[in-house]
Amino acid sequence: MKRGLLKLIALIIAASLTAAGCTPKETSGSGSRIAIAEQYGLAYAPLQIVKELKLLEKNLPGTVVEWKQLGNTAAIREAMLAGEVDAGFMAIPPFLIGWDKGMPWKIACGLSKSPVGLVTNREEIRSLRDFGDKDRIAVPQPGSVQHILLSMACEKELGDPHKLDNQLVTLAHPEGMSALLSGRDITAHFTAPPYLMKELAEPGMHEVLNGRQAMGGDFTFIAGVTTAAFHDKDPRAYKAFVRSIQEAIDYINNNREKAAAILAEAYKMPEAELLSYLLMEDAAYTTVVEGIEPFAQFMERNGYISKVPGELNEIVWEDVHDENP
Amino acid sequence: MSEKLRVSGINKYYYKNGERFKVLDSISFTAGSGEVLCLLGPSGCGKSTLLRLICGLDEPEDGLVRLDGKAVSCPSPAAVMIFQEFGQLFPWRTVLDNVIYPMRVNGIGRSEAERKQTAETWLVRVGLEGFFHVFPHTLSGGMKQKAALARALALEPSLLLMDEPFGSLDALTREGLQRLLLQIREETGSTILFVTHDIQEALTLGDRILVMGKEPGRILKVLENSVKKTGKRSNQEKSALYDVIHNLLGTV
Amino acid sequence: MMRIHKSIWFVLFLSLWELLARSGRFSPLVFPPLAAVFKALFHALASGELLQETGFSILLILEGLLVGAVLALLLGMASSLSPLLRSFTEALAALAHPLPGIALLPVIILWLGTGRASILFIIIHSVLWPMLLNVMTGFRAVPKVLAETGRNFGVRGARLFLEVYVPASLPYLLAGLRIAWARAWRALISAEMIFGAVGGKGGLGWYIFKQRVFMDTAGMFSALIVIILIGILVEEVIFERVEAATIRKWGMTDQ
Ligand SMILES: Nc1ncnc2c1ncn2[C@@H]1O[C@H](COP(=O)(O)OP(=O)(O)O)[C@@H](O)[C@H]1O
Ligand SMILES: [Mg+2]
Repeated sequence: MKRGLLKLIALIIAASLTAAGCTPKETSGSGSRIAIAEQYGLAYAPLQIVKELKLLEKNLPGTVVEWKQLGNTAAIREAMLAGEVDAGFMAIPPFLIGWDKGMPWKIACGLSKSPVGLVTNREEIRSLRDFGDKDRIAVPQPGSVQHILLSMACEKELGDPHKLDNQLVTLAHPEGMSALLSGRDITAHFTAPPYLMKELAEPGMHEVLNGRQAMGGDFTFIAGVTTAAFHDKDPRAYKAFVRSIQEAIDYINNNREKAAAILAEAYKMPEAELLSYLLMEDAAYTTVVEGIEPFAQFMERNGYISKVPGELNEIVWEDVHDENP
Repeated sequence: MSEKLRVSGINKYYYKNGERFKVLDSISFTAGSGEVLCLLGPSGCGKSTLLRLICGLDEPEDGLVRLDGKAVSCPSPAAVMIFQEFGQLFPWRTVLDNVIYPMRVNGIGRSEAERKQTAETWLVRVGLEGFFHVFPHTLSGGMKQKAALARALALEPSLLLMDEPFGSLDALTREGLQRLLLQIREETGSTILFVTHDIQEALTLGDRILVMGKEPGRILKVLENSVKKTGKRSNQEKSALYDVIHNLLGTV
Repeated sequence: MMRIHKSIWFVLFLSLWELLARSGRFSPLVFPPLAAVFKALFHALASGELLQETGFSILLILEGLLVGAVLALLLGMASSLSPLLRSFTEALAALAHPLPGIALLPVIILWLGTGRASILFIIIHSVLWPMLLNVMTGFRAVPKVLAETGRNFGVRGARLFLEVYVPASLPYLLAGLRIAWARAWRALISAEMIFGAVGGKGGLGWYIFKQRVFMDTAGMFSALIVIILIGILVEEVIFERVEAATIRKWGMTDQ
């Protein structure tokens, strides 16, 4: 009996050590497979073009491309940590949180700038000052770009970045929109396209704050991030990945109507509506990365991350264009 | 001897497999104040059913039960029942609290202290001194029935209904409790309706013995218990009465 | 003896953990060393944040347990009064009992929104049905002789239920409460992880989610430790003591 037990324990330990031996999954990008994670929204539009025009397959013949649409940045980060995903798309603040915690990853390219805004259903609210104790503001997650932007605005306008923290409600974009429109639970929603336009199109809704006001300038909304493993082990695949994104962005910028047709299909939106979005002043697709510095400064100052990057190459791979060197 | 209990013209039916059958057939009898009346009959003849009717736990289809001249319609502690089951004490109350609780419910005693004292007196009387603060499950069967007796007596009921209370006890313990019951009856003058299927027990306890027959449950005969009245005088007389009852029951 | 056995496994498990964490094969973001976990636990407790979130969760579950148990008792009483009510309650319980609270989430959000009320609703749902089934079984299992003794003593109505039926069916009620607690506690943590914070506080589930978002793996594990500890405290200490002080003391355990 005792002997049996010991054997069993030995077996378990041996098994776990063997399991530990084969490091998390076979890292891909070795020419055969590349896994990319994205979220839902118009800010990810170039990725739809990469898919539709099969740009990755063209730039990296013989590769199987695996697309994953995940619900939030934390899931993307965990998948990348587990080695299941090579490249993920996300906003700068969640990227910085991961970097700060030691995630082996860097930014490979920008993807989009996007209008974001705080929409309220209360007529009398004209600025952050007008929010009372009873008001509830929905953001997708703590630490999300929406949350950080709101905190930045609070710091600027109210002198305290955490002023509204106790009034935040966490809701994914679709639930946030329905809660705001039904006038229940929340009185304001910090969101992005297409939800932003849909909400503003409803009667009684108006924008209190937009992203540019909060940040005090332009910034990259979504950026492409790849793991060190992917970047280091297969430079050819990495280069092909960045090139494909660049080509997709060029395609959108040079063929708006055609792009709108492809995207309307992918997003199940009327073509005209999509085109008008592509033409919006605040919406832009570019691989240039903007706004890392102010985000990092603010987040470090307020304890969301413990340090700011000393050198730019700590957080971006070699060939990335940055506007604030 | 004034009349304590009058049972008149009782018919009671039950349903078995959807069919109505008569359990009790025109039962009538009386019990005098201070009397011990034994209900003797074979198992299943309706003794418990009759006791439940007298207690008000159930209602007859026909007939009436009068206790102290008043018709019985719902259970009340005027007629307190002691069951055969040892589980009749509330397991979550101590022995003492089992006695106090029904007194409290019925507002007997002017204060909690007075109730406690009465309860203790009765527990001592039945021989349970030293067991006030234990829980019932630690008591033997005989002690549990003693506690149930003390609990009933503390309520000063007009009528004590006992449904084969000693039926599950060993012979020695049963005799002890029979003696105790008779002594207490002497002291208090309680009126007792005592159910048994044991002829010997009926002869020991009953002033009168009501012999019941089966299917439907009915009264076969009411006998004066000359043996008890005259004390343990003659074994012959005793066995003669025993034979009479035995024959009565045997003819059923 | 049982306890010694359990703790041996426990120590073995922790050692294995530390071994794996130190083997260097896993990133500390996946497998934080124990020291990091306990440090995170200490900091979270010292800052008061973890305690506040724990308090929030405990208060919610106590409220839910109380409301659920009282409702179950009331429904149980009602259904033992009339066969019609009984069949109604039984049908209702049969429908609702198998539904995990979390599965009701989308509907609850539609009806009640995403506030505290919704979580409370889920807890009550988790508590009510197993409690009700046990209340009904327990009431039915009350020995006839006890019920009739009570009635004989003139105990009636609500008093008969509270002073005879409830204590007499306590083994069933406590068993029901154990199931209810386990279900409610799991439902609560899951719901908190989904609902997020309202007014800055969101309970232990929310705390875990927040640590996840900020990628504090050690912090996540520290909250898991609190959840485990509370589970052990309630199931092995509180329920044990309550049972020892009631049904076991009264000799009602082998009914
Ligand atoms: N609640 C009931 N429903 C149907 N039949 C019953 C019920 N209680 C007792 N009986 C039947 O009535 C008859 C008399 O029972 P009972 O009064 O307990 O007899 P005794 O106490 O003399 O043994 C038996 O045949 C028994 O099966
Ligand atoms: Mg009987």
